[in-house]
Amino acid sequence: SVEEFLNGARVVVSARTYADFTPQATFDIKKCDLHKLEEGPPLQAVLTREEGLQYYRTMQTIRRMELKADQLYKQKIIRGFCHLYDGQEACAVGIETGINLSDHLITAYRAHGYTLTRGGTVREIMAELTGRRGGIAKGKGGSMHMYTKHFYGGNGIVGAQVPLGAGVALACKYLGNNEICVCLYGDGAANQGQIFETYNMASLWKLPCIFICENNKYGMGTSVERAAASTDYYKRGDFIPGLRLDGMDVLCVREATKFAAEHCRSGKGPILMELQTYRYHGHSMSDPGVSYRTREEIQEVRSKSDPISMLKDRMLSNNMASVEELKEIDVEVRKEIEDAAQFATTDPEPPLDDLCNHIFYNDPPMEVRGTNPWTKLKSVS
Amino acid sequence: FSMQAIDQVINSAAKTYYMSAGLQPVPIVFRGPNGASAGVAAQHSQCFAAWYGHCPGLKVVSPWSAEDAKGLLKSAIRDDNPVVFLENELMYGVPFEMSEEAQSKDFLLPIGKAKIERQGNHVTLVSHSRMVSLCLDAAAVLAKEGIECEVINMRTIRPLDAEAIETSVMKTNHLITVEGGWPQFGVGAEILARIMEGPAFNFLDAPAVRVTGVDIPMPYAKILEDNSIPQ
Repeated sequence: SVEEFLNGARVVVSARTYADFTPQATFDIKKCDLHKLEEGPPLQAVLTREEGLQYYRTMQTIRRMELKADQLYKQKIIRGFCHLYDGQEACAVGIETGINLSDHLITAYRAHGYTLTRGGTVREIMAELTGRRGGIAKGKGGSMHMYTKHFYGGNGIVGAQVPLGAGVALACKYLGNNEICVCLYGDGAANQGQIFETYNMASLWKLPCIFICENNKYGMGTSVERAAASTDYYKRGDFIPGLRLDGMDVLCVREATKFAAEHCRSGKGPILMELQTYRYHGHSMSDPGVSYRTREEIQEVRSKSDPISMLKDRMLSNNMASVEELKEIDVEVRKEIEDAAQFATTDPEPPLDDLCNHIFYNDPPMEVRGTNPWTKLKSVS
Repeated sequence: FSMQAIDQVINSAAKTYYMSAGLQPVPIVFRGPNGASAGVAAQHSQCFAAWYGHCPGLKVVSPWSAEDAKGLLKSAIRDDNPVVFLENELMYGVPFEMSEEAQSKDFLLPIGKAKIERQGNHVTLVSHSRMVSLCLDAAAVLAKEGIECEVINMRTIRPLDAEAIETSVMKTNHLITVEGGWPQFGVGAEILARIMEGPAFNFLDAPAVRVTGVDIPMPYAKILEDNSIPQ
């Protein structure tokens, strides 16, 4: 009858209001490979609508920020080193959701994503890339040297951040504050000697340190098969328990991080995670990224394993968000990036009298020799 | 061994406060024996004063006496910046008199200030660490011939107390630097360059001279080792 038809139509219309979205859903996540562990993280993850939207927004922000940096670099507005993170967003976002802001994190040079998740703003990050006074390090650090509270960079020397991270973990243990340190490195750095020294000390002293290897399959232009005698990076800690997981799935990363954090906080000592991930760009902006891998390979990862698409598909197919809603987030993110890029290109460069500042902390002002004996420059703490 | 860790000292410690534009200070002291010992041969005898002294962001300290060691180490620890504290293995066993004040609990010596260990009018001897003992011995010998040396104990390599050296040279008109390290690009080289660039140049009656270790890796045999460093 006409009445029944109209009733039916009303039901269809009301399904599109927010109140009808699924507030949370449980997803199956891939099992982790385990090393010296009896049990691993759970095989299912619960995702609420709010969490999903937040992860989507953050990953999309990192993605668009990195692509904008690519653009600015090609326009020569960003110079020097620029190592982009697009493709690996699930790692940074997933890790941050598994720890607290009061915990600590240190990584290598592919650090823009972490600078954001650890509390930096897109504006400050982009202005640092363009070397302006509004940059997160006032323009004095650049791409590889960004810092925020409880985030120790941004480190240029391959592998050097790992012993430093263990030192932070040592401080956590010494101070008894129940905080942990997440210490990241790549598949290339995984063969560095100082990392093995660090494994030894962290294990000996049971430091609350999560070692995380972001394995994106290439150390600069060298594939893991050509670089490492053992590509089971999660086992390289030997006496340190390890897990290997899908770094393209933000929920996988989150659950594994929570598991690892619990391990550390309970005093069991360090633990190692290997995140299998992929970077779409080359090693840095001076690497096209196609001389050591095929465009087909890159395309395949993009179409089958993209972290943002994966989350989007999950949310849409479980009615946790609408296509329009996600598009709206995209638009907002694009605007945020545009505004930040605008700021980053128009903010003035640092003043010359900042040149010699920040040599020492808490010291009286001093003189610094300029390029010739008659030039004495001022330096304040 | 310090070269094994030197990347961390320079790239992770010295530069961080600057790179972070003041967000991340690094209050740390790196201490250990530096320079030639006795019979430990080439890989264990290098002086790093010049290497560390080269780097902005570091403070480099080189004590000679017991009071230097105590006062400077306390100051180094209380300093909120990376300090490299270069000790000397052969000085560990040398006794020194310490004043009441030096024995007190909070005895501090300022980093960046040299000390005049012996007053004199005829020639300025500038040195650090174990070589200060050598300079004082030489001064005693020269005093018998009527030559009065002013011996300056640098105490700090970086920042260098150029003013103390300049004041002395403007009085004595002659300068000799004495160090255990190699000559090229060394501590003495820096001091001489600064004197050249500063007001004391016009007061020199003769070119300044550097006395240094011989420009070779440290040999093992005693006769060779003895002849590789200033005597």
